[in-house]
Amino acid sequence: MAREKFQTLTEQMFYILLSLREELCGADVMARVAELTDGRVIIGPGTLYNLLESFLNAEMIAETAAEGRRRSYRITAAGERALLAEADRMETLLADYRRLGTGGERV
Amino acid sequence: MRQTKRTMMWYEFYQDANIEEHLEAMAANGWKLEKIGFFWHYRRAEPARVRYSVTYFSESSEFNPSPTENEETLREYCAAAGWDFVAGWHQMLIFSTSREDAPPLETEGTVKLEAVHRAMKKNFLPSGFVILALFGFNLAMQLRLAERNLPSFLADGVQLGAALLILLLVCHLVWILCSYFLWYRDAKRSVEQGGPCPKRRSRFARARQTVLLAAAASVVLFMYIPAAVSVGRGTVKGLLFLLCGYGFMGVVIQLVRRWLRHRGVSAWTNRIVTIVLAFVLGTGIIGGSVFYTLWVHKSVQPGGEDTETYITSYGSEWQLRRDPLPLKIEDLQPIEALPWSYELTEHWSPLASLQEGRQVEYENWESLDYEIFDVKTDFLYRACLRNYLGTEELVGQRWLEYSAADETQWGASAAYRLSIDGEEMDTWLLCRNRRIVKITFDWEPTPAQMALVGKTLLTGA
Repeated sequence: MAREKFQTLTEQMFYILLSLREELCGADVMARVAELTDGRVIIGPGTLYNLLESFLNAEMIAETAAEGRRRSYRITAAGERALLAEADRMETLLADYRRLGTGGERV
Repeated sequence: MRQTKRTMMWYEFYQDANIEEHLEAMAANGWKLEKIGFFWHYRRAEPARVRYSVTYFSESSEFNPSPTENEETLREYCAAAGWDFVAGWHQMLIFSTSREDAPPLETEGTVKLEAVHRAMKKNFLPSGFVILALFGFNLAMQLRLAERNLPSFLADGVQLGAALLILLLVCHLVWILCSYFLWYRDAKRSVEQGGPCPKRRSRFARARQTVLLAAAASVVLFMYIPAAVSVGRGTVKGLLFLLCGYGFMGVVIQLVRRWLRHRGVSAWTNRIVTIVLAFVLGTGIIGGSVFYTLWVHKSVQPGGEDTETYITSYGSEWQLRRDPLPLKIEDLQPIEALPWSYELTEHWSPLASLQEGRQVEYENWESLDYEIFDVKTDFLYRACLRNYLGTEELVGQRWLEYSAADETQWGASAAYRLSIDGEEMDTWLLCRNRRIVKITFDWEPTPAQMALVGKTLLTGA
């Protein structure tokens, strides 16, 4: 069920998982994603909380440390597989786009 | 200058956009939200441009002794993003920020929709459906009563008032539940297509709540209370007892819940204690109000000027009343000098009135029974006449029905006579203008008696 839920990743899911390649505490993920994307991808705290819970339930991330309520997470092998699958999917999209020729001009 | 303010919340629990806009307007006017509950509490502050955001968290509850660890984690993430926790109520959490650059609490439609729906399934939807089922069942019972005896239902302002209040509540519940599910359907469609999870806003929320409250107050003031007063002081006192009892029950339950919460009792224990307490108090109050009403009625009658106690030759005790009946047997024919009781019961509502007259003596059980029903509109008159004339099956497959009779003898515009399995009874229905009289004799009335009955009961002469 979890696999079906995360069959494709949204931009925010993708960057949360990517940022957790290094151990981070939950609250720091927001700043890390903003930094990784130069502020292009912003994650709200409510969305972050719910996504971290879902990733934990799907075992795509694991809790690595807990100091009081400050909990740190890191991506798991399942999370890496999801990232890889998403990267492959995007590469396929990009390859199809290039193979069929670019139809428009960059504005 | 007043430093605090309490207001009613005019918006539904799920109308986050309305609530946010309202709180932002209050902050701009110098009122900062402090606490939420049945009333919303504000404290005076410098007028400021403050952003509010409402979110829903399924673990939050009024029964939790303190915020759960997960709720604290969410609050921590919000604080890191520049949002301060302001107040919580059931599954609703309210945050505020003065920072222009603070990101929205929710930035992904699918995730937000799932979280909102999970929170709504925790409390708002189940409680909505349970209340709807209970009051819907009650309304169905009231409608069944109306179907069986429409004139009596229409003329009983207390019952009609209660039915209207329940109807208002049922309409309100259906509206908010449908409104939520329509929003959920649209939001699901939107996020499935990659769009945002729309905010829930209603332009008419305040107007609708105002109309609803005004309608409920009108029913209570112009129907419920006058009708209760017309029935007698026992009913009024019983209703007051019931209202005060419910107010007392609400206060006690809130205080106990808060006390248990303060003592750090677990959410489940608190919930169970609250439910048991509500059941015990609710049952006690309803039972108490019935006993109180009966006690007041009983205490009024024996001491009343027009009532006396009579013990029959076979030893049973009756209260003989001296109510001013519009028609008595002695107006129609001579009577024996027996202890007669003259009993008149009146029911009133803004739509109709019903007088039930009965002259009876308890030794031989001779009697004259009649009811005078007046209704305000032609439409209701026709519906009530159909109800009176409806064929009814009695026990043992015996059929009770009315057939047209000679109306001229009564001075009526229409008359009908009752028969059971084809055998004519001494019960008639007489109609004139919007008045229906049902009268039952112990004897076959003469044409002169019919004319006098018509003159007295149909015209009030």
